[in-house]
Amino acid sequence: MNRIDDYIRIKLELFEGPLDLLLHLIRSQQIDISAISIARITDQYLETIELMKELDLDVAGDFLVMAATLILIKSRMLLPPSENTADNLEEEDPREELIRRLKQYELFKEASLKLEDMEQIRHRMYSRPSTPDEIQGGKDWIIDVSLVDLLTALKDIIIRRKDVIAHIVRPSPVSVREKMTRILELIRENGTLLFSEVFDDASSRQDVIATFLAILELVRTQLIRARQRCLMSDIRLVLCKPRQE
Amino acid sequence: MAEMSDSLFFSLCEALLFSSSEPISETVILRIASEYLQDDEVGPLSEFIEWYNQRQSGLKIVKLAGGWQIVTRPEFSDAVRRLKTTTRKARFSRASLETLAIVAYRQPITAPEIENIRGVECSGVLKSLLDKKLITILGRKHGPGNPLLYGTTPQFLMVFGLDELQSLPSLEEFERDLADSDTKYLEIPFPQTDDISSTSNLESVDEK
Repeated sequence: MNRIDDYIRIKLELFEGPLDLLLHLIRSQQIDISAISIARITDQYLETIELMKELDLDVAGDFLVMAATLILIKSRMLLPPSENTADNLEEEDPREELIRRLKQYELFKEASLKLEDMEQIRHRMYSRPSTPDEIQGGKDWIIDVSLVDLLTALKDIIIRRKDVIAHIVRPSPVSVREKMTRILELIRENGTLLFSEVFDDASSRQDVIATFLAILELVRTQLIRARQRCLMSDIRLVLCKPRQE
Repeated sequence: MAEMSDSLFFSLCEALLFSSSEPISETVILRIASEYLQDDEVGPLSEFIEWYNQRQSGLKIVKLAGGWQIVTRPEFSDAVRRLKTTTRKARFSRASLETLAIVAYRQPITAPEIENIRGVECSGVLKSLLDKKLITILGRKHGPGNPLLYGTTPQFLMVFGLDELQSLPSLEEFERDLADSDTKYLEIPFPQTDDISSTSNLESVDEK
């Protein structure tokens, strides 16, 4: 993509809407809004829209509505003036509504630039930030709560409640009983089993927990005994002798 | 004015204003002062503020959202910023500023009315302004669909350094400015290739 295309692409994205684009087209001709030539501005507007389409930009519906409005005004301008037009020429100007909207938009655009300046000046004045205890403190309770705040709070609660309710307990695919049988089998085969070895075939977190619960259960019912050579050394699982005898 | 009683009142006011991270209203300051000082010691707050702002100081007292607050003088902002570890959040987008301006001047106003002025859909911008607590819902308009009415908040006044909505420059002022300077709008200069990546939303439509 060449430079010009890049330039156009960037500029088009900058327009806040059809009025903004129109205003730009008018300003770049350095003419007064009230003196716009609908035919000329419509052509330029449509060209820009075409360009946006060519560049695969998402042409928002608002831009198309304005295009239709412009064409409508243009066609009205072409109509021969009706008989009573001479009496109230001002009111009959088909451009009137558009000019009014453009002027209004221009005004608020100007106001928004002023707001931007004001925010920048304000930002240059620093105040003492609130200390952490103030944020937690009782002072906050005197702030008026608006309906929006309450609704936001309610939304938070609903989301939190949903989290609680949405917790589904799934049936465990691994049963502790099966694990107990398996451990006993392994110990019988080898005579003894290292604690760490028991988990070798555990495939998931759930599996690990089931295996651990199985060991606890076996120890509790005195089917196996857990032994250790010294502190921190590996634990060895053995069958309980009295039961065997 | 420079009597002893005033000084005590002045000192108390300064202590109160310094301690608060938010603007405090005159009523609150005077109420607290009257609890700790004799009646004849409590002077008008305006005297204190006038005295305070006349001093040679890096601080000044400003009126924000109906209350008073001590802030650093803007001329020292660069120096003060050196101490700040956090960088400034992104400035307002064009869309936010335009919408805020319309809400500020035309409140209470509905979304369709704002959209009519801007010529674009505004729900996203309105939501973000609501989230930032710069605007709030004032109620519903009686009419088809009972649309929500929006207005600005005290937070808006704080962020834009305003005491009250009446301190906004009047729209007539802008109208006059625009009429005076119809020729000030010049063609946007063609940017160099290097500029393209750095061209931000704020720079280019701003045709000053």
